Amino acid sequence: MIRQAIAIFTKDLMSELRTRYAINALLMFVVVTLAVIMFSLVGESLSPGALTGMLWVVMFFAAMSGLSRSFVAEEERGTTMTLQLLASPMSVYLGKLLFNLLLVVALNIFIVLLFLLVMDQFTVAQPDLFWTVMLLGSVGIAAATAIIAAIIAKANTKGTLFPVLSFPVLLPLLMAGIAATKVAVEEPVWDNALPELQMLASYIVVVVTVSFLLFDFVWKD
Amino acid sequence: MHVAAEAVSKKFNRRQVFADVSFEVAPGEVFGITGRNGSGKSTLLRIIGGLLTPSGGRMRYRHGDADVEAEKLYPHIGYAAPYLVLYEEFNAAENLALYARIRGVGLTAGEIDGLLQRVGLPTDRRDPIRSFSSGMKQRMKLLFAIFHRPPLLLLDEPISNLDSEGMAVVYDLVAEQRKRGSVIIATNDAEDIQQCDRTFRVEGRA
Amino acid sequence: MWWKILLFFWIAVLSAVAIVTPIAGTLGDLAGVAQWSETKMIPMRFTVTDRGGAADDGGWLLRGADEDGREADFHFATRPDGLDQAEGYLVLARYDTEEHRVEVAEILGDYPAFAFPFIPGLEERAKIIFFHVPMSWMTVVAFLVSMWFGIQYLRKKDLEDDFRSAVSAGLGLLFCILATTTGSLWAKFNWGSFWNWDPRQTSIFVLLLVYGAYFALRSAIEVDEKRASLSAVYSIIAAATVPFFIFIMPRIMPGLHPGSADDTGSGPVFSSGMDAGMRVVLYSMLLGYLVLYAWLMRIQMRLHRIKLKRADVAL
Repeated sequence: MIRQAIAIFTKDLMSELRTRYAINALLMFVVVTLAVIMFSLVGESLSPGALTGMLWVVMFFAAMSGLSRSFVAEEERGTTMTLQLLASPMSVYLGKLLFNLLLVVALNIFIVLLFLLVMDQFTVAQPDLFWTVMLLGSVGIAAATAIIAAIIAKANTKGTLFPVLSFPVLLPLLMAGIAATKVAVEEPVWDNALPELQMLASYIVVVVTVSFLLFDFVWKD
Repeated sequence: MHVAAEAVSKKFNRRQVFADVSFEVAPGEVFGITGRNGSGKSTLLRIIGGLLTPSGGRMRYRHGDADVEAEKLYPHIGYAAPYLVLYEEFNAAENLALYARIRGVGLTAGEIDGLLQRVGLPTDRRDPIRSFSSGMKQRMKLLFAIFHRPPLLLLDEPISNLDSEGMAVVYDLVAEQRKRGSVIIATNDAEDIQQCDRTFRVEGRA
Repeated sequence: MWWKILLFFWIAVLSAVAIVTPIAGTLGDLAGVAQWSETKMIPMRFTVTDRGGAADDGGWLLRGADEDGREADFHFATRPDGLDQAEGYLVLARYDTEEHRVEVAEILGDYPAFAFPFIPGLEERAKIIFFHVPMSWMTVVAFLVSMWFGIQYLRKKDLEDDFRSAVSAGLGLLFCILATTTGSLWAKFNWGSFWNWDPRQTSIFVLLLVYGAYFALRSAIEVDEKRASLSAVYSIIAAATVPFFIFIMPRIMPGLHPGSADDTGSGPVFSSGMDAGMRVVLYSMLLGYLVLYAWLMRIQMRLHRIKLKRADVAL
């Protein structure tokens, strides 16, 4: 199963590198969004706490604009059946999850680095905690969006449906992520963010487990 | 592979496509499924291939001495159909290598060339499948169906888009598959039907 | 048939009882209010123990006992009407901490046998719980029932289960809208604004979003079987993630609802000390809403079967 999943992951990666459907648009999306935020904040001085919220807003919308790609692409090109014939549903889910994970992690690293670069007021008190939260948050976003993307790929209005279905599911993650990031940005104590980190971890475990149990029903016609 | 359909029926949106379909296919047999357009030939073939769950009745598979469950069927079948789409951004050799990797079948570059020559496709690795003609795509789909030597080969209108040379390739593959396992062909073409030992006519709802 | 009439009267009578029953405090409540406001009047009830006599200032002073049995002097501006027959009163009053007596501003009526307790900060507005709380609970119950039938569909692939799931979600959405509206209207008068992002307000907002997403998804899939399994899967995923709010919300925002982690003010409504009368009315109301929900489910299912029959004839 792992071998199959890795083969599917490699296929998605190669396909993405060749077609650049998601990457180019996503990078531009991030740059444009950050530019809009910067223009709207010219002359304003915002606390790092408020900027934390902005950072998560950018990460959320970037995820919403690109992460449904892996499943929607199969459905739109009509290759779903090919994949059904090649691999077990579990491997497909795992492969797609890995691909989403790579995409989110790369994307969020890009967003955060850009954010740190252009927002002078955004300083981080605890870099190690900050990056831990970013990593856990990214994994959580990848896990939740993978199964939602699989669902919306079968529906008619894929693009608009994705954020509609994702938001309620992602909201606890976003709230915990923002709270933990605020601690990392403003407070010097690791332990203050411990409950949030535990919550992020258990959220990931729950979402991935539920997705594994249910993916069969989504994938098979 | 031994395939048995037991009173299989399928509904879409509560509308009956077909009902009470029963047949058996033994190893070494070439079995034809015929029927008017819209009678549900392709739907039935998808059900046989484990891609659709029947609304009623059930499918049974036997490979060697062991029963195969519908969920574990995918490694045992090869499937080619007009509605199947391959990864068109990759070239033919890349596609084959990709499928082999996902299926866990080791394929060397030489073996890939051999397979490509077998169905009369160019062995240079220049063009992605996107630029192939529909006949070449059909040949590629045949390769997709047989490269892992499955015990059950499912072909939906296998000679569509093919010239006489391509048809010969198809019938050659069918003859070879007969030695390895069983073939089920969904078709209305007279020449295809000639290849079959038996046929079954799907009577869709009026 | 009879049970529908019974249900109608059950809900109507309970609603009337909830609205008409007076709020009545005790001497303890009066003393509590007096600590932070000299002029604040609250309703209270007491039984007359001594009919007393004219006071120095021309008013009337009598002795009475509240329901806890504590006694105090009650001062009226004039001799209260029908004092000779009256055994008790419901009055609007305040406690005068200098004179150490209860200052009665207005007689609201005779001693009521049944009254809801006075709750500081809520007063008459406490009655919302008889409507708002059952609605909120039904929102959750309907969601869980919807998910339950979703799971049943995934197990047995019976489209009837999917329809039950969708109908329950529809009723849940209705209750959700009602609970949100009543809640936010009440919040305007008690907390000062329609929306405060209190943890439970946020939770019901998320439930509203989940219901909305559920129906958006259903309307975007054409094949019945696909719609059934995908919406069932979505409701299970939502049900698995929404409980995380219970953990995360109180850490982010202070709760305003009774029962919140940092609740100090309006505690007694839901605590074990909740008045027995209130509890009986609340639970009876909840039972009424449950039966109402089951009835609506039944109507919808019958309608569905009739429609199916007609569609079969048309085919």
